[in-house]
Amino acid sequence: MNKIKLAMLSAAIILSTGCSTVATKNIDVHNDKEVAVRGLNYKDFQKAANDSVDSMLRSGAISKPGGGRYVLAISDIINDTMQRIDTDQLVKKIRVALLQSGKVVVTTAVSAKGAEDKMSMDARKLRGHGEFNQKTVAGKGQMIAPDMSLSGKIIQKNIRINRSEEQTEYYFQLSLTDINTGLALWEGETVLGKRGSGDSVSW
Amino acid sequence: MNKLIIYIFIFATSVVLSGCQSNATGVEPRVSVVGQQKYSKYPYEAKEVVYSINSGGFIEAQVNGFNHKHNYNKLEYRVDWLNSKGILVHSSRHNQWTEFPVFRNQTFSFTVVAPNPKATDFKIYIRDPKQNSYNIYSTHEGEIE
Repeated sequence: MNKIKLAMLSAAIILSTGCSTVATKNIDVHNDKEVAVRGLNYKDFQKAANDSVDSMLRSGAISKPGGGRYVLAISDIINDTMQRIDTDQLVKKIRVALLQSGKVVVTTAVSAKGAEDKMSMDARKLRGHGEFNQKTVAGKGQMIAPDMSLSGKIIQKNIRINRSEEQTEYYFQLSLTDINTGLALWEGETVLGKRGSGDSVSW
Repeated sequence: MNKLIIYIFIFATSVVLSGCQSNATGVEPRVSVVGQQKYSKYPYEAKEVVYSINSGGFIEAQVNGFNHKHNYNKLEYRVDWLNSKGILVHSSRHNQWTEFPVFRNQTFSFTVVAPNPKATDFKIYIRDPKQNSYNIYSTHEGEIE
């Protein structure tokens, strides 16, 4: 009798573990079917970045009069959501697109959080170092100061619709400021809304 | 008698061919509504593309079309930007489909802007994401709703 119980228990364990198995699949990012999630996923960042870049290219704000390229510094992009977001998910896409536009180049030597790439300054500490050919050490006055800065904020707002449904709104707000004058040359906002069960979480 | 048969054959052939041509000329060559060529009653029609070069040297294009369907729907587009030699101008952000709304029995339009001034030409694809068969990546044909 005990053997039968043991066999039934084993079978139940095997069946339950078998049912819970979900095969892992790679996402085709070029043709990903809509699977809405309450939090922010890569498609949301793509949309926000694309909308912003298209708007910048249309506005003419990044086209330097007389040709040439603007130097852009990345300022604060504040994450004011309930999620743990690396804002570079948004900013990097915008940077890549702006660089590809041929109108803007981004400095990694200056940013709101300090130098993004500290090596530009660290390499200058080699001045006067006997082990290094001084002709190959970066010279004084060679760095280019930024013309513009990109700043922004990602805001999340949760609104209870009824007892079972909740709406989550995300606002991607960005500004492009002329550092010389302090005036915003371009501003943009992309709004994304998601509605779902109040039981699901958005963080 | 033989000559008469030949004349009738030539006449019939020319009528058929001219019929095919008239369908083809109605299609805007820079826009491909995926599935439209196969199904003559496809409800989404791209009527024209107007474009110009803006102050920054970027091509800005607007696609104007018509939704013959009695329903609101969300369609998607994607753009291949080409340089003067016909080579794709790489831009990762253009590899995705972008949604746009079409209202019942109404005209629709959307605008696109080139990723850089080297892009001198473009090809726009429009699809209905609900119709898997109209997916340009798919090898399967399907039915219209």
